[in-house]
Amino acid sequence: MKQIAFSVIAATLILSGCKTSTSYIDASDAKTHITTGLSYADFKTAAHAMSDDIIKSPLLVHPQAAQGGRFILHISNITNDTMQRVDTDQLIKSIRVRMLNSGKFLVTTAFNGEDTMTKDVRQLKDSTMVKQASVKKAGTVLAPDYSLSGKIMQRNATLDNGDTRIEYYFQLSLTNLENGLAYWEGEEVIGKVSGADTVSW
Amino acid sequence: MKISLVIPLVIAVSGCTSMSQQNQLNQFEKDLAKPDLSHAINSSKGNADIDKKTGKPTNLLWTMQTGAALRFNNEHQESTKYFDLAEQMMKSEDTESLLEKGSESSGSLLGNDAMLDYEQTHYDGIMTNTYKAFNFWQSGDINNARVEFNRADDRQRRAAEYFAKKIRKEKEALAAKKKKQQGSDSEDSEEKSESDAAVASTLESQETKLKLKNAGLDLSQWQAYKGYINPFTSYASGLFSLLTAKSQSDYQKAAQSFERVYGVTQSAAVKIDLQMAQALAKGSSSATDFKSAVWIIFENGLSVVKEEKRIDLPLGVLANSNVHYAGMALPKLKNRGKAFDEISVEGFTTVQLADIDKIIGAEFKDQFPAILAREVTRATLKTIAQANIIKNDTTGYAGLIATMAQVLTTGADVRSFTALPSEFQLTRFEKKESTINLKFGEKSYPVLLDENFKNHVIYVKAINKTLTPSISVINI
Repeated sequence: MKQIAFSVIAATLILSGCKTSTSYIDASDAKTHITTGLSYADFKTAAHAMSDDIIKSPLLVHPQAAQGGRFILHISNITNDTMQRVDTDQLIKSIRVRMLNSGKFLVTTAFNGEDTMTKDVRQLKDSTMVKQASVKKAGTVLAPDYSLSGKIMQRNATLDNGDTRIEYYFQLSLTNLENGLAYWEGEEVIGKVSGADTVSW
Repeated sequence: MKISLVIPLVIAVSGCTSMSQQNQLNQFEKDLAKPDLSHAINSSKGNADIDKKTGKPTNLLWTMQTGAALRFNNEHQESTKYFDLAEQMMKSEDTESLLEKGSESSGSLLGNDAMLDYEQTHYDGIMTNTYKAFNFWQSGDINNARVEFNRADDRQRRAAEYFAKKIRKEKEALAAKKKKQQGSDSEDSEEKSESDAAVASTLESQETKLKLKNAGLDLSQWQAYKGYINPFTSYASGLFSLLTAKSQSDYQKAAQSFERVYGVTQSAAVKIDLQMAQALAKGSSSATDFKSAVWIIFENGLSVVKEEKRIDLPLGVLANSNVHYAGMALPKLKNRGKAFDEISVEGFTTVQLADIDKIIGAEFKDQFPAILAREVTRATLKTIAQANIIKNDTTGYAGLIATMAQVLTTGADVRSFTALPSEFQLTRFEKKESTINLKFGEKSYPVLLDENFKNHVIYVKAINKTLTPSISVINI
């Protein structure tokens, strides 16, 4: 009986010892709490590297930069071609913030239904409820100068020891909408290795 | 715990397990054949052992079956929810520790394989992701459909590598065995226990092979597709890339998928798709150069399933013993067949794209030696125990109970993803009319094609000849 009681207590202690209690982590830390999928740390690493590259590009200097001139950027479609159900906005948001903060770019949200209010408020011009002088006028919205598009790809390969090498490719292009030429292209690769037992998602 | 308490417990668990699993599968098959699929959905949900605390199912097989039944009922979102949960369980099963697997396996030596947790086959995982991809595509969510097709492709890559590695290891083991035999001739330096020697002699005997063959357990007819691919998944992934392409690389991806499928099927429809994808990948054509087209994917009939086959194999331990029962139970594949031979439409007929029975058979053939070895080991151990009990039994009852125990604990694992079809068929043709008629033998069903879209993928499922086939259209 004593033996059984001891075994039960020991098993309880072992099991409870294994339980992880909830705690805060540094979400931008890419060295601990690593997953085979894409985490905030991965998006941040890729977004920072790529946006810094765009910001320092000599081709992307506004001719009236000294007078406060800025290029207007439109974010087009970013395809998720991975095995992870992620929202590509996780990548794009960091890039937008960094580019806006650089003082070289402004980002338009008026197109592709991103923020429909720019269009909607102009339909108030006949509203009796709204003070007409405050209604935004037609012909004031600025068209974008550049479009940012791209994709995130995932490639898995088995290593000689059976482990899985997982590579995420963040590929972006910045197209000058005046002439359709890509003024900047960039690729950032994040690689991981995981065991062979299971899938990478 | 006393052995007298363990034996009734094992009998109760293992004997009932095997039988109740068969009953559940039989009921599900009957329910799938009813016009109202809610019976099949509810019965499979009931079998999925939903945890009261978390509200989540805990039985992998029935979670997959529920996902499939919901999909057949066009409840795509709910179906995906179950398939997602099934994938989580597959992951847990994959990463189960060796200790857990070992204890499960040794526990089953007292009973049967049906007591073990259901472990997904490669095709289970591949079809789970393929079905999910179609759920998303049919719901208009191409972003998540792309993710699921990528997952299905990756599962196919993993399956091909698994089988390649297994074949390599088997060749190495055979070579090592031959070398050992040449080196030491008949001298066997390793001493085997009585039971190990008996198991080995049973497995290697010609009589065993003959008896298995006579019992319909000769699996030599089942051959995997080259590269262990599921041509349906590869084709569907290629078609999705072709029709929703966002860049040249999508056309390249489509061309690669079609090339693999054409290599194993020689399908005329796939050849047209391959040529189209290659032209688009090269940039020599653009999507607007191609006329409007209609693809028909036909999920036909019900796949092969496992049934129990009771068999008496020559157990080495039987010599000079007075045991009353030393039988075994092994799973055997049973054909359920197609619903229709083909669909005729606009002068075209659907032809086989992927033989799912063949894929299931090939993977079963791969698993069978391990299933047989476990069952022979189990029967040998139980028979030794029974012989010892009979030998020492003075009352006559203990021997009888031991015999009964062996009879009742013998059962085959007949579980499999039985919602799968027997095959997938395909045809493609130029769109000329906005209404087309799909002909299934004598019956005909009109399908309206939305004129606002250029291309259409018509997904058809028929379980049998009597039920109205389910037809849905993806407009692209």
